[in-house]
Amino acid sequence: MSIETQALETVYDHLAETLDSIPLAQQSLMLTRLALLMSEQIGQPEVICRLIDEAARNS
Amino acid sequence: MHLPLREPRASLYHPYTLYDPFFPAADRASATPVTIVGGGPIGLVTALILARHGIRSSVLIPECQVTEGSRAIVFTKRSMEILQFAGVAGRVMQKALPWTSGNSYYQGQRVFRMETAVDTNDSFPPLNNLQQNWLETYLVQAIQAQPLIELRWGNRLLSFTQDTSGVEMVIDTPKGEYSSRCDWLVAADGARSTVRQQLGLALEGNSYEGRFVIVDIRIDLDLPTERLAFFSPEWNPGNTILMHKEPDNIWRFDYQLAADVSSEEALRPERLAQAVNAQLKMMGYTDKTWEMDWASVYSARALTLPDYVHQRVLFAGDAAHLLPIFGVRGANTGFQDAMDLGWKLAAVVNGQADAALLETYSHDRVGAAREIIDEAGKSTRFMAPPTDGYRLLRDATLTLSLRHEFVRPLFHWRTSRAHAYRASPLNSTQDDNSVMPVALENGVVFPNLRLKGGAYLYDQFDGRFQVVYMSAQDTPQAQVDALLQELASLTAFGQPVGLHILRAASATPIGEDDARVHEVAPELLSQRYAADGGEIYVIRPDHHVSARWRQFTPGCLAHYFGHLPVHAAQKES
Repeated sequence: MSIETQALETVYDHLAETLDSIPLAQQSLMLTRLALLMSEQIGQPEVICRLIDEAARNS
Repeated sequence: MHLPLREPRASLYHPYTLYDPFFPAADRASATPVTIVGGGPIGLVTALILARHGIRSSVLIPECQVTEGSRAIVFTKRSMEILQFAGVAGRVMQKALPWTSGNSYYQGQRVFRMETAVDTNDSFPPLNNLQQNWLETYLVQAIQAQPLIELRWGNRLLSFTQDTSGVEMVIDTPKGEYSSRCDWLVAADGARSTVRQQLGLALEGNSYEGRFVIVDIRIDLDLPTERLAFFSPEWNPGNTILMHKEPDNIWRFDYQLAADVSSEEALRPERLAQAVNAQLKMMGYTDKTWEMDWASVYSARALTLPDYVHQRVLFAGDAAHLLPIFGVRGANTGFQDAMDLGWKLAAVVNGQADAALLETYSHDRVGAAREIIDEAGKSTRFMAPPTDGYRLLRDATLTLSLRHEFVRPLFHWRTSRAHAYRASPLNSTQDDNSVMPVALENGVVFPNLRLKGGAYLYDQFDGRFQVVYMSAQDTPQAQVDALLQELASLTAFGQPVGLHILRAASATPIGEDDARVHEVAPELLSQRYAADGGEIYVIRPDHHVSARWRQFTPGCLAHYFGHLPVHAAQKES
């Protein structure tokens, strides 16, 4: 699975603007909900856990 | 000198009886084979189970009355089966409130409802509410009719020493100290076990940060007996409130304390009233009068001793393990300890079993405690998240649950269950277990069955080993005869082995026409026991399966029973 750059830019902007629209203290909660909702769509725990590990990297 | 309370405890619903403190006629009490330290539900049930196996015991109870307050209030089907073996289930069910449903609320909306299945082949409902003080009173009443048990009220264990043949105890009473000796000491002295502390034994596992208040009030609420869980209500944000209905119009409120509130502060009457009123208001009750009965603070812990057998000292209940009460895992786990320990200790005391049999108690029940700790961790991390990460996930799940079905099963409350002793040293390794259906594998509790006429199969399980044979459509009489013949020559720890034949109603009648043959609907045999016909099960005195074969082959039972850890002298004779 992949995503076209143009589509990715749409997601990029929407996520940034959504984060900007909610208080800082609520952002983690929103992202956690997002992760759970996306987990339901993906449905493959090993893929999701690998992505969580990847997202946890800072380099 | 030990001074128990001389006034009956206060209660809105349970009249307390003061019993006379025990002191021996001489300064040394006559020895009993077993002394049980602690007169809570686990100590009392252990005494009754031992008595059913013919073993005398004395029970040391520091106070002269039963416990204060309702404490353990939910008893599972499995606990009721054990209490039936102990002889008190009928009395308990006259008073208890049975229930099957659990509800989870968030922001005024019921986001999850859990229904526990009820099966007419079980003799008890899945969950039953009764205050612990009532349960203890019924246990005491049963013991008063049981000459094999001596309750030593007002007796506190001061110290003890053990050697290879027994335990020497010093016991403090209102009349001073006395010494007593027993062959075996069962430590059922609760979470702060004196016996555990004196042996210097450490519990292993996790302690959680959370502290919880439980408060009982008398109030008339027009609600069915169901478990209610309220997540993060406005009056106690981030925390969970549980409610249970008890007999006598008593309601249990159970809520987590904010970290900055001390336990003393939380138990102040004004503070308790504030919490109760806020919760009632949230539920829409604004004009109800209520009275306070009892309150306490507890913390969630998931700990166990790594071994329950220490030479002549055996641990059971909270003395052996401390488990979070989410999932009603305290007393319900302890009863399973008592049911496992009872027959094994009885066989050792009778001189029929080698002390190695007691090692299997530790093996079976420490294994169960470790499973419970794992499951309890899953409940606790949702009910009372231990870290910021778990709190974030729990809070995200709460909000999603309002509109998204898929997260709602995360509310599922893992309830205390009967544990399967899959790795028990008592399980056969030479049977057909590995190729038979997993649902009835070695170690599981053999499911009960409603018999024609309304009795249950468990009513006939009399404390001995049992064999259950599923007779097939075409079972040749010769095979039944061979089975009966083999069984007749067998004993398990000096006792004959019981036999029950479950015969498909459509099958040709077999020669055996006594009370041990039970006619059963064929679909029931296949659904409940995954039976095609011909299967044979060995069931331990505590109802757990320990060996099974697809078909009887001569010698299979003799081989199994021949390898039990019987006492060496018995083996020779």
